[in-house]
Amino acid sequence: MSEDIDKLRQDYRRIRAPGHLATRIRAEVADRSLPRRSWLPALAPIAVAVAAVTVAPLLTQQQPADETVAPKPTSMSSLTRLSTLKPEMSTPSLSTMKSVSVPALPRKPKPDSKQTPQTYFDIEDENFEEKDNAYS
Amino acid sequence: MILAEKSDVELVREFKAGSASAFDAIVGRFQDRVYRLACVWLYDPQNADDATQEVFLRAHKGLRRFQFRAAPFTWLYRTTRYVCNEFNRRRKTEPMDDEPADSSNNPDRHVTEHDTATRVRKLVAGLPERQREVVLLRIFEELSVADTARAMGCREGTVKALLHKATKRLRIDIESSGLTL
Repeated sequence: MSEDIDKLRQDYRRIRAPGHLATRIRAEVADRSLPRRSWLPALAPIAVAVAAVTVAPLLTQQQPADETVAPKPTSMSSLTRLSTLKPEMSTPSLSTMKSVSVPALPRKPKPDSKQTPQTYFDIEDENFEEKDNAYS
Repeated sequence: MILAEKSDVELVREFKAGSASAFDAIVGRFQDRVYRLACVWLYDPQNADDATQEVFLRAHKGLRRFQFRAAPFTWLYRTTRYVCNEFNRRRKTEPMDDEPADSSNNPDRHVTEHDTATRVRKLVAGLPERQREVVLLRIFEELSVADTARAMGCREGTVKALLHKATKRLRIDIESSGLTL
């Protein structure tokens, strides 16, 4: 090998990597060795779906309470159902109604037998008398 | 035996067995050689840091499957070639913001930026790619003819022939350039 080429080889071998390079490589290797978290965004929709499935039964359980607030149905069948659901009232039977003591009604006054009943003719006579008075 | 005294193959074996300190030892042992290769192969030697880091990141993955059919440095050399080619391709397609306006894609444009690395690079860059490879591996890195042939993926006879042509041309280039080495 010629002297020039040998000198060139020595110059080439004098080239050194910067001192920080090994540290940089170690740090990068350590960083890449860590477990990846790239699957986390993909997990988000699954988490939302699970949450929805968990909460949905709770919401449906609250629904009957809301129905009491809702307006009453107007169809005949539903009205019939409502009538059966109506709480029973205590209605008194006829027998119990008879036993109730009711104050007696005041007696009807008996007509006087001596007093002649006022007849049609009497009234006419009175009217007649008035007529007479008018002419008098 | 401490890690620094172990052979390349033993270090890789320990790394494959799960030793993190063995990988640190591999980085410490080979980083200068990989960095030098990157300085010569890259159009922009300022990217040699990034290229060297990328080579060792790939080594951290790839050496776990190393089959010991070649020397570990041969594997690192080929990886360095791939990474540098990727960096050079990216540079061709992506315009550099900090690039001087009158610069071209000529590998010689960073002559004034680095001293030793650039002088060496200037001379070696004048060679055809295969001859440059032989000079780097056989002369500069002092690999055996067999290892050079394995790294280049050719026969030993080809290495010898390329080496003969490369040294002849390099000598002429050194004389004509007038660069003081």
